[in-house]
Amino acid sequence: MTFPQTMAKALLNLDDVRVRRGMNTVLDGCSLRIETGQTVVLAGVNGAGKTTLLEAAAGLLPVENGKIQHADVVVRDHEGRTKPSPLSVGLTLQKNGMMGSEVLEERLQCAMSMNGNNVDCGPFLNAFGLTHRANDLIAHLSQGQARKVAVLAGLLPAFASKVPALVILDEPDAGLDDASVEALGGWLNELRAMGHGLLIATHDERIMACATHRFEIGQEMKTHATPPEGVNAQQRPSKPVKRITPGAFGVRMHLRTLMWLNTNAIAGLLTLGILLSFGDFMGELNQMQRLGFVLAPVLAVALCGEPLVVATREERAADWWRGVCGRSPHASWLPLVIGLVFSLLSSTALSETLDATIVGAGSLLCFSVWHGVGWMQRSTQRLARPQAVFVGLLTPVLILPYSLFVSLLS
Amino acid sequence: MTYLAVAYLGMLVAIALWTWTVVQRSRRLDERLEALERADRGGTEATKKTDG
Amino acid sequence: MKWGEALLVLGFMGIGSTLLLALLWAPSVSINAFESPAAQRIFYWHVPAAWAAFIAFGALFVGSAGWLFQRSEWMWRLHVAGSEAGLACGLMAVWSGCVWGQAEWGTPWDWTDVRLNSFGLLTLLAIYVVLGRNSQPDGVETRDTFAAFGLYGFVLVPLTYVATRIWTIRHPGPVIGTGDEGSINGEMGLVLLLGAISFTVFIVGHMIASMRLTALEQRLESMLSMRDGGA
Repeated sequence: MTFPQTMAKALLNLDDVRVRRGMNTVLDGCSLRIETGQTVVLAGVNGAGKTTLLEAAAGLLPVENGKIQHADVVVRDHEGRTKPSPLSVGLTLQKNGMMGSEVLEERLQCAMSMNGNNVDCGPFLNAFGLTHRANDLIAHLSQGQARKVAVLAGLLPAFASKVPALVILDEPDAGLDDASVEALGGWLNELRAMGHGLLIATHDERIMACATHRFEIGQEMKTHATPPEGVNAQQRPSKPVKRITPGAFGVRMHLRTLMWLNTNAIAGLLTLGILLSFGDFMGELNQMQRLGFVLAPVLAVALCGEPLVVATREERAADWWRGVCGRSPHASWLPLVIGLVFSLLSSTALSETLDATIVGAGSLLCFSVWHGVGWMQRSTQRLARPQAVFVGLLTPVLILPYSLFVSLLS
Repeated sequence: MTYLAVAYLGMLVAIALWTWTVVQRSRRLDERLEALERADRGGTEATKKTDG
Repeated sequence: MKWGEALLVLGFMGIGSTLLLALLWAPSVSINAFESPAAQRIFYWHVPAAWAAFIAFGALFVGSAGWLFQRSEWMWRLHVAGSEAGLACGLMAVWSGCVWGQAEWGTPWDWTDVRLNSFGLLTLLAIYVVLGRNSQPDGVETRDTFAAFGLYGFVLVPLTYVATRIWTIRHPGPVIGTGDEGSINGEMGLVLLLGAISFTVFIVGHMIASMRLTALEQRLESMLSMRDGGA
């Protein structure tokens, strides 16, 4: 499939961008424009800022100055405004951006589903020698195989897209064998011929040969040696599919790995167990106190927060999600169900009565606190060592709202 | 009155320790910076002598 | 001796004098007005500590906003100094409040008390900011994240106020001494004033010393980085 190219359309526009990382200003006054049918290769020594530029282009990094546009939409600007990209974005980060609990083919389908279409990924898997691994977990693959999956997850959304897509690849050739690099070069040429825009950081001459332009940070963009002529896009029929949202993906991961049981439910069960070990004390309490104890296990479940925040730090999976659809995976409606189950369990065990209002309130409490704590956890994701920050210290802020909630309910 | 005196003195000792830590950290940093600057000056003078 | 250190010593001596005067010189309050009149003497520490914490949290807020909106190094140093001083003074205010509450109300914590809850939560936030910042390498990511929490602390105060007001309306708090507890005589006022001035001098000294300390740390880090690059 190729797009009518009567007029070149800007897919990516970086305008006078300044980005700081740590104590250093990595990019300053950087401007870059990529149009449909262009492949721009970023060249430069290690530490020149290629990865920073790619991640800024994907909207992953805050900019201190200037703005970043995808098509006509400003996705990041220096005043901190962010918007999701209107384009289909194919993204391969330096890390693979995948959790070990994902299945290979499911991962590729998920990446393609972001723009509502998919293509048959069989030929791609075949070319990369991954067909026999299609139904395996990412965790079971070798490093090289996992890298191939990450590269395909960056390319396939563009192959499936019915409109020009933006493809951002950070050293896609790293760890790939010669045959795979050859195949990759062919696909890059094909995507360019289809009219997509590509931004690639690489040190490999074979990948550089696919470029229409070469960009060195701090210099003007140069037109590169003419890329291969006569490349024809193969016919790859795409068909519409349902979009996999970060919420749907999050629920799938929760159910597959049972991380909700390991992190949240166990805290609720322990709290309930401790309360039951006190014997029959509920009769001596007033209504508000009884309610407080019945809902305590539900609160304990939710206070543990969103286990996906920690799980998606693996290979920067959360960043990949933010890059392609603007949001990180989350448990979506799952806390409602878990809250409902725990409210039922707690009501039956502690007060021997079932009240639909209390069960419904418990479910809502679990949902709101779970996602509230998840928000607090995500607020530290930008840090160099997010795991070293004690987000739990902030949870006492929820005590007063919980007391008010119980009080209003009683 | 005893618990009051204990609470008071506990807090006084705590802020004294805190202050002492800040002053000590400041002194140690001063010394380290001076040592680094001395080493840098020494290096520059040695280079000048070699050049001369 | 540096400016900050001189103020620290002066403030510390003032605090020591306040303590002596509070225990030995200040008159007792009316027995009828308080459950535990002796415990009331902790107010000579509690009120000035809370005042100093208020100054420090103000500095934390101004420093956070200054870093986020102006990218000013000086403002970042103010954020660091404000959070550390706020943590220390907040802990003192909360701790002394708990000691008094246990003696007077029979419970160290009262969920209906706006000031207690505000200070408790702000102090927790200060612990979070100080520990969290110390766990990270210095950089724009660390500064942005914790400066945002510094601003969040300021939003926390009115929110806590509203929450505790609703709570108080629904559940009237413990009856705290009635009668003439609102009036303080001349000697009491003098000790309180001395405490407030001493704590102010002390906390300003601490913030100056802390800002200088951060500047030294930054200078050291940049010198070491230059050496890394030059090696």
